[in-house]
Amino acid sequence: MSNKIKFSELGEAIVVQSGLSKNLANNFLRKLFDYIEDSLYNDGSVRVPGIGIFRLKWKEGREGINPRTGETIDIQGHNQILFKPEAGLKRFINSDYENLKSEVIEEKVEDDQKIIEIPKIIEKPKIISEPFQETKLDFTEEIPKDKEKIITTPFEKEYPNEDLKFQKDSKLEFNNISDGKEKTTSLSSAAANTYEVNPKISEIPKYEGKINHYDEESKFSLKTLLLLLALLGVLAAIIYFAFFHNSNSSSKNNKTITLIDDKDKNINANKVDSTKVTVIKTEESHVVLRGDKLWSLSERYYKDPYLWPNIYRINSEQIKNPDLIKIGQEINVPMLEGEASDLTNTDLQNISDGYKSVYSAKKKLGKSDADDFLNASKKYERQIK
Amino acid sequence: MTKVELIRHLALQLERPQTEIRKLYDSTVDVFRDKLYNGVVISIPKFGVFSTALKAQHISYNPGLKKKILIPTKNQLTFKPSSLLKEKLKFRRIEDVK
Repeated sequence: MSNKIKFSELGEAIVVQSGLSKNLANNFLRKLFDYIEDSLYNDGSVRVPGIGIFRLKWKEGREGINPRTGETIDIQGHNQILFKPEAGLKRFINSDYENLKSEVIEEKVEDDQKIIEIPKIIEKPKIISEPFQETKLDFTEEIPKDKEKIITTPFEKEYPNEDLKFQKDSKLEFNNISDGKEKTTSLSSAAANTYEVNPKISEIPKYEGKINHYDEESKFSLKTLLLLLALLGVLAAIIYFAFFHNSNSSSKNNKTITLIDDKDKNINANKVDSTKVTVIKTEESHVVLRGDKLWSLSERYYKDPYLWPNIYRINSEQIKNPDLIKIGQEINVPMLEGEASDLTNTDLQNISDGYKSVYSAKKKLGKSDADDFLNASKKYERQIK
Repeated sequence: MTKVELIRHLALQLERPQTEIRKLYDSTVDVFRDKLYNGVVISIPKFGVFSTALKAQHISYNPGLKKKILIPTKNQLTFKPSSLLKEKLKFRRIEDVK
């Protein structure tokens, strides 16, 4: 395909598209552009549906300078011909770049991730619910089991155990401290715990020899010990979350603890990661600020504003009108499994359900645009592989 | 002028049924879209040239927010009127007509 087409080629393309005679198509084109020219001449502006608006803009006469000679010249008043493409046409030719949105830059342009403005988001603690805690514990138990068969490395085996113990201790500590106590005290207690852990790590190599020599029986007892500790950990977590579930400070403490952990156990950094990865964030809570819309939340969290019904789906009970959210309202934002550009089947299903819930809410409110959301829901449903 | 009015006008001029003109008009818009989307330059003699150009992403300033914003890549459609059309409309004062 050549990069430039002329009048006759345009006519041919139209003939192919419409199936009418070439003569007629050429006449039609000539008449169309004559018409644009005439109405520009007569009215100064003309709208061509589907293409855009042409208009004349009068520029007043002024004195200009010829840049080559430096002479002043008199520029007469004259018309400029302006063209503004229609929104539909603009969108169509930009359909490759649809997902790109302009972003606000906070400071200097160096690190993209740091620059982008991130409004205040109240994060829940990393471990969200009890079932999650349990799965995490199961996983930590499995690691040593696997490792035992291959190489007996008490160092690795001991570590998750140590971690649990540590979590348990710190959490119990928190429980003992009444709600009135300040963060700093609880933090210091956490710090104290980390120091307790340290000597244990240094002790670990001592076990190494023993375990190698001991029979399966000793391994078994170790296993049971691990299990017991894990159970204790679960219990501690349950109690802990019963008391501190919503408090912000608890999440902060958790964070600091994990940080200290990392520093202490550099050698086992990989292990730490593997246990952390199992705790996946499925939801984030967001407190509505002035100017927030479901649309803008979706853009912020998913990088695609069109996925906002996915947020609405979760919060449909507290949000009656999807077009209206209140300042100070707490909204749960479910995370996507994939990316906005690469949605997984469950994501698509969720989004489709979200659109359906928006549809039913809009239908209840008697809004005229309700049917659009049903269609959108079908669109996402069709994409499921 | 609406699309219906425009089609009626053209149908009268070409002495053809409106259905045919509508078909022609719709396919014209379709061809425009397709060609411009594929980066083809459409030049119409004595009228002007429609062309698209890719505008790279750049940093700009939003005076409303008083913040710098990153504007993403986009495809920009421009129309450059031919010198003939320019000449014809150069000194046309619409204020005088009205």
